[in-house]
Amino acid sequence: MRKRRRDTYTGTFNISKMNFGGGYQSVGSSYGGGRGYQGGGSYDTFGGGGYMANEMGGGFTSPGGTTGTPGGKDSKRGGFKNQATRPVTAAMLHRVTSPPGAEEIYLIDDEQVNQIVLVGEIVEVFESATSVMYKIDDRTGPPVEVRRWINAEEDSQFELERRAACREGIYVKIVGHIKMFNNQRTITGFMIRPIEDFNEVTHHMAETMFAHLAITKGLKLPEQFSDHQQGNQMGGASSFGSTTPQAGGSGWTPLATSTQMSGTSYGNQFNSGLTLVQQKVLSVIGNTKGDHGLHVNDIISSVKTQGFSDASIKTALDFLSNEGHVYSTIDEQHFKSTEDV
Amino acid sequence: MEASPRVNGSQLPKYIGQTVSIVGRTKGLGTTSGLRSVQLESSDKKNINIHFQQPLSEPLSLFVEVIGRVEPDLSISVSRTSNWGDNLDIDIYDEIVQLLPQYPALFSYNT
Repeated sequence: MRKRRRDTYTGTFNISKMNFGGGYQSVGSSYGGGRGYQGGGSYDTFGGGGYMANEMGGGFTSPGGTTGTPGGKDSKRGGFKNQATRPVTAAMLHRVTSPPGAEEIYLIDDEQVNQIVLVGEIVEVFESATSVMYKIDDRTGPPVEVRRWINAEEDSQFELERRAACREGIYVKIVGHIKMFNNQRTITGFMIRPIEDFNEVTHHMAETMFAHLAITKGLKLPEQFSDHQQGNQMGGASSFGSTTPQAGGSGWTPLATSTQMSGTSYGNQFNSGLTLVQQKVLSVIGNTKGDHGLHVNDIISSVKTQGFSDASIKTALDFLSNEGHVYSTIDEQHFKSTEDV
Repeated sequence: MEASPRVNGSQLPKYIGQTVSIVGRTKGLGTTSGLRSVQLESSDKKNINIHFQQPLSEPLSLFVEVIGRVEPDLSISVSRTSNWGDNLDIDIYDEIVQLLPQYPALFSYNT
């Protein structure tokens, strides 16, 4: 059971380690032996990779089944690029394709996607001992299935409460991975939280269009957005013209539009919509190697030295958590980054 | 289950007989439990009559999403509702809804 739980948190977080850091080379059998890759189907989904990583002290990280293929022919698997969090709809997930002979690669708009964010209403919940399966309806097509691995013995109170809140009729925001499970594509969710501000639904639709346009057409941004710093401060996107939702209110995210956005680099740009304090918090969390991530007090004391107030750091942390940039681990006080470190 | 496209009041005539999602502001104080029909001001400020098959079992919030079939008189036969709270920028919602038909690959999939 323990094996299964880990995969909830694991998946593809550590692609950079796999491809560049060599951090898992020492896991040898797990990687070279094909667990991570060959197990890309149901085996992996049951957390083979995650378990190995855990035994090696990797904790919430995992070689996972969606990491780079050893010597594979899939040149599209570019490591960092895989980490793009793509805003999607059910309609888009129903249209995901895979290149011939590479069914563990998922394409939307001919762009490889692993990590997705979806907003919709829970219309059905099936709970078993090891997972909860949600059917999510966002009005764009038949509901999509999202699986969340659980562990009744180990999940924190925070996790239990959040799960209890995710019931039929509740709108949720989900960050997850596209995976193969029993030879079918499914979504493994690692962050599922109820929507409280329904402007998030509007925002998600806008962001979905924005990402699609950025990827398929590329973006030529106005001059003032080309400066990185300023772009971050501006936050809100200009590309929708007068229809652009403006940032404001909790959970209402500025679109990421700061620097030269082009088709292939969309994902890498995703964090560029963050404010300075959000970037600092994310960077501090991302630089932490431990199993459980970083305690909120450590985050505050670290970022505080750079001239930010406790309140602004906490707000930034809430934002990053809500948007799926970071996630809580053993309790709601400890955070790890979902990004490359 | 098919898509239930997000529409506003002006788009309703195109969807007669189909199931849609329409978000609007509930009108007046008559949105408490027990009622069988209410008026909804759609995101583009059209008044829409909303008919429930069962009396409402719980109160509606100021903003609601209604899923239901569009009748020939452009009223809605509700299959379900979702309370969207009292804080929604309905004008921006409407602007986004107007853009959706331009992107069927993103917002419309029927099996």
